[in-house]
Amino acid sequence: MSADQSAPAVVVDDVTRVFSKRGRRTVAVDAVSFTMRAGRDLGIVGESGSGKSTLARIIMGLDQPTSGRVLVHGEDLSSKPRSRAERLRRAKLVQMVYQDPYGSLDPRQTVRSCLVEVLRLHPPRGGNVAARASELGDLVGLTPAQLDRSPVGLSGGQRQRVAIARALAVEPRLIILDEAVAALDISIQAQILNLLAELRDELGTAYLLISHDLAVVRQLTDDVVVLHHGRLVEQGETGAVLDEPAEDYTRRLRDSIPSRHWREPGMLEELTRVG
Amino acid sequence: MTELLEVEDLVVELFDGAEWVRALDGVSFTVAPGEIVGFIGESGSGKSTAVNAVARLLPASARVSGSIRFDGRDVLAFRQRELARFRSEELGMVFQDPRASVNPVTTVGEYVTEGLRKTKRMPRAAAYARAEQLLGEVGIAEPAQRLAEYPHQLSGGMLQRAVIAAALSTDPRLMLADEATTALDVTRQAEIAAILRAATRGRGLGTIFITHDLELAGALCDRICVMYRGRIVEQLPAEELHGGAKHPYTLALLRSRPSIEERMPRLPTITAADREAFLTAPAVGADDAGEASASEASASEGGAR
Repeated sequence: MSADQSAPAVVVDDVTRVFSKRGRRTVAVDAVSFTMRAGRDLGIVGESGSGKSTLARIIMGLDQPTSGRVLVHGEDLSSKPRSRAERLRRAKLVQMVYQDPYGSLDPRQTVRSCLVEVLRLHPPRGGNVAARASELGDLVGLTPAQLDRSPVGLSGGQRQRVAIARALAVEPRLIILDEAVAALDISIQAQILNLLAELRDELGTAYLLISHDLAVVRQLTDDVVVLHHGRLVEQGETGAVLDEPAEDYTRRLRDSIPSRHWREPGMLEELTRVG
Repeated sequence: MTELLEVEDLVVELFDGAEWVRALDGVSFTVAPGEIVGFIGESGSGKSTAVNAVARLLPASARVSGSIRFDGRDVLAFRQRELARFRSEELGMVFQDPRASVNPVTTVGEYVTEGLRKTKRMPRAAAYARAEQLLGEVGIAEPAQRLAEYPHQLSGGMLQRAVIAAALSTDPRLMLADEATTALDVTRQAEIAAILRAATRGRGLGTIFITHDLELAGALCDRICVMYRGRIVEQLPAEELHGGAKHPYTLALLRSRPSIEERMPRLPTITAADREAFLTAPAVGADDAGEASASEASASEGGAR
């Protein structure tokens, strides 16, 4: 165990991101600060325009904040990597799994060669790339036959397993799940959520989950941050925030989730001021 | 109560390029005026096929048998002109992605007034005046200004309201909403649900609401049809979804979904053996004749087996 095991996994320190387009300034992320503690999975919740995806890209090092800084396991990723070695080292800190497994996999190569490609860049301990590719397949529940197929021949749930295996191939300390189970059928979503929990217990990988789905956030995370129009409106333990939201916006978000209350006369109309 | 739509023993076979696939395998259901009937199920369960069959939107090569009666008329027997009139005057349709429904290079006003101008042959000025009322009905503020704008100037939720306004413009009697709230944020989703419910009740529409979200169907609909592999495996009043569902597939879906109330050590999953059992378990609800509950009695079809 390394010395910084108890140090925060992610520190987001007064991060602002402003986009300027044709003279119009949009503040996508507005002075947001929070800490993701080591050994605790964090959810970032918000609707479209909340800034959650911009923030994820910044934490991932794919985008730079206009001001403020981000530390991932103590490393400042706010600047562009200066060398190939630095880029590879950063990749070991954080990987990302996206919502759409179609868009994030190359249809021209088999799943196995996709994993091998990543393993060549990030050689596994012992150096046996082929063996490790098979092991990763096992780990995420893909059969050897599925590993030899193109992602095109796989179902949505299987492709998401591939995306998870590819992220794990790098052996990152943190995986950002950007709406990673949002597009899946209910029964497949349950399987992937279970798989993610098993992998966390087995490998110690931490998750930063970006989601609009509060039930998924509850199932997978310990702490939560709520964003609205680029600002942080509430944070705390996931259970506490969802059970007893302190802020109006969080309460509205929770009450907008379909429930039996919608059947009470006037409830839905009051919630939405429609009708 | 007289049914608006009666679908009986509908079988649809589609050619997938290699073989014929039975997409619907003997589906029977009804929709009454003022009622929202939810269709839930996973990808490939046939829920969209059922709705497309009602709108006669299946590929020309599809093999269709059974009957679809709209207001007593045989939809499957409609000739071209009758079908065109049925679709333009009696059906309203709302799909998942509002941006796919509208023309990005014409104004929202042109889109919302199209049915009024073409189907109702309303003069332009009158159509725009009516469109303003319709936008008001779906909760869009400053309707005149919105009508002059282009689709990209509206948010997804706002544009979906405009699509619903356009669907309502011809005073349809049956609304088909296929994953109409799926692409929207939760707060926007609740708004669209409220609008659909208000339109269904206020106008006496029959609404078919397709969703993969059980909780949403349970919260919004009056009755629910649960589809699995081309069949309705369970029909039940929506308020009985929690606690009253009986079919093993419905129960499995309810259990697999994470809860906002508590974190579970592990979510129950569906095994291959479960899937076999779902197929062999008898259907529950309107199909098992005589056992329909009181609230279903008015809705159950006459000729059930």
